Amino acid sequence: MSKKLTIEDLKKIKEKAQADLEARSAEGKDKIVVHMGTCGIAAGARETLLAILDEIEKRNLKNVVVTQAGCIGLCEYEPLISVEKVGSSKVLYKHVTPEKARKIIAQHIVNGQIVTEDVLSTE
Amino acid sequence: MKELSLHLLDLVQNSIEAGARNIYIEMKKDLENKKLFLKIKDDGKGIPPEVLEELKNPFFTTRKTRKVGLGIPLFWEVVRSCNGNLNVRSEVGKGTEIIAEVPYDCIDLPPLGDISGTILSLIVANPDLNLNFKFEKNGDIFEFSTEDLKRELNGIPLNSLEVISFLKKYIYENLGGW
Repeated sequence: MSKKLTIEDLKKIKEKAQADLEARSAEGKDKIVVHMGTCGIAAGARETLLAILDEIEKRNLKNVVVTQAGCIGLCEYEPLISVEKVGSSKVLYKHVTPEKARKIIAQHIVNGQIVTEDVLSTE
Repeated sequence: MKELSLHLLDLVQNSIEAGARNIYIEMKKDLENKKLFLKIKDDGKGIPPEVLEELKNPFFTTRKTRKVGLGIPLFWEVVRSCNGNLNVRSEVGKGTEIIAEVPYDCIDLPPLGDISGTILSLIVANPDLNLNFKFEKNGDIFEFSTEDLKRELNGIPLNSLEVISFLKKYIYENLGGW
């Protein structure tokens, strides 16, 4: 059985992560915000966020940052996520299940095409 | 909420909303005495006494976006239905501490669920916060702090891709059997 990871193992990835960080620090990053109010969490926002992280990892998307926000009063549309690609307007997606989140990553983040059927609003 | 780990995620959101920079989360599973213990302590803005009195009331909120505040009332319902205790202590300007204790064998207690997913979500979506965790199960302790991770990473954000991959494995390996 392999040994459990420890904080010491972080040192191994530090150099590689540092190089990536320096290479990209001048660029902007695409931003995904997952709304994590009580309504969002009860509707499945955690699973949506975990699916987003998984997809970002699988696709090796180093130019995407995932963050969270609270309830914006649109509880009936939860889970809500907003996607803001560098140089594009912000798009708010509704009822974002983990499957929809994966589609949004592939279609919107990677290919730049908004998933129109799941859009609640754009800014 | 279908899982206790979702209640935990939700309760910590209150600390984040309160502007906390340091949040301490402790969970203890005492199988011998059949108790589950949860503590969340933050250094957020604190809760004024008149609001503290209303915390368990679902139709009270300080928000303007909606007229209900369901986080603590939903958790209170779980604790109350299992004859547990929930105490919230707070001081304006200093922070808030929530302590809950529930019998672990209560049939109305939701499963703990994906506790690792909750922890990973909190860290990655809030890389600037200092989150301190302590999990104890029958004397076995797993504890870590994002402050230590950040010190080790020396400027590399906690939400960078390599670190997310590390955290995912690290947390799931250490909390998988929880």
